Amino acid sequence: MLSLYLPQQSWLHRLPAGLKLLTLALTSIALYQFQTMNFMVPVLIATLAIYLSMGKTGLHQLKVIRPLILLFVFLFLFQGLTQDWTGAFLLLGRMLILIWLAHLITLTTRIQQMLDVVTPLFSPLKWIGMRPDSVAFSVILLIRFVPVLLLMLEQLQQAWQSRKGGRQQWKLATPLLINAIRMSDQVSDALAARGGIPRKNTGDTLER
Amino acid sequence: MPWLHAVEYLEKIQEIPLNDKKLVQISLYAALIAAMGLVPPIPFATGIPITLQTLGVMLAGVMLGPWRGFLAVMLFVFVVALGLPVLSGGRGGLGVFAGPTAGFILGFPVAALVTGLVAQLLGKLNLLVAASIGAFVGGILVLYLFGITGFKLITGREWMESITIMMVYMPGDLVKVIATALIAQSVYRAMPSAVAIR
Repeated sequence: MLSLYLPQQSWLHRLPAGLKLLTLALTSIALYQFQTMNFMVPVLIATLAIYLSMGKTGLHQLKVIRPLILLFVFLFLFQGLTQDWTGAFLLLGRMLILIWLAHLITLTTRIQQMLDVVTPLFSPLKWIGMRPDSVAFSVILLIRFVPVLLLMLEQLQQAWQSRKGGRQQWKLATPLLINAIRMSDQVSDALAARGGIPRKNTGDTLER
Repeated sequence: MPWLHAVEYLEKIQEIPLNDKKLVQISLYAALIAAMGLVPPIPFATGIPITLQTLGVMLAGVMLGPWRGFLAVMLFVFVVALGLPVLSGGRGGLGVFAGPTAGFILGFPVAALVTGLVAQLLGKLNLLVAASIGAFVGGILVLYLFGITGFKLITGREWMESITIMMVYMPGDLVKVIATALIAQSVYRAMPSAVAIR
């Protein structure tokens, strides 16, 4: 499924999403405010401890930083060699903590829960004549569109190969876009036929 | 009177409130950018793998125009924050906003806005030229401004160092500028109504 959510139960899963987001925000402010090893190291240990508390699957998730490792090594060495090693450790620690903590929220909070927390923030949309829940509807639509688009691309690729199209697959971009626009027109026609955006967007479409 | 044109122009881009059809279009382009993050990166001639994501950002600006292009890319950034792994390389979640490339991601919507705006203002020029210039200004100048500033803030590097490091991505992005213009032109030939800047 198109989500990073870990479908298991942990104490973090049970915490309210708003509280988790607030904790992340406060931690990031504190990390920039108190740039000392005495503060950074305990926070880093606490972060790792939370992952540990989620068992093997939790520890496995620490790999989220893998695409960034090379960049981190480079930044660490650069900072250490040109300035000081304490600064290098602080920089590295701060980036690791924030990425890992933020990832924890993503792992333990359903998309619907996140939407519920942030939807009230969209209430100013009323002032310009739009419904705040249209944001949640767009998100659901997007989640549905992505696999459809990938399927469309696959079909175009198969047709291309069966015509011996060669390797210049970028030429598929135009038909893909045209097909996609046609599909979106059909979707909006269907939506209009049903009387527009459904009044109540409950989690039905997202919880599977 | 140039300022009269400006007023007329502002009225033209005022598309608030969005109707349902436009909302669906916005979701479609956001989904397109998301899908581009799931397709494996293409190793290009320069040896640097280019991801398609910024191509989607530039296309959204050209095809939807500044305002809806901005909203489509905002929606994409929003679902990344919600935790969908749709950023190139399967990344997603709040963690990416703490990473060194956060500036690029936050700059995406503005890049689409400027791309659309510039391409629209150059309406008298040939579509290929207008879209290229728009995509260059929005997708490269503006996006790199955000990306490099973010990189500098998060890593504490100096301006010149940050710029040098980020230049690695430049060749791939220049290719995407040309691709944006070519795609916009060929879609325009088949389906003129699909290109909002015309």
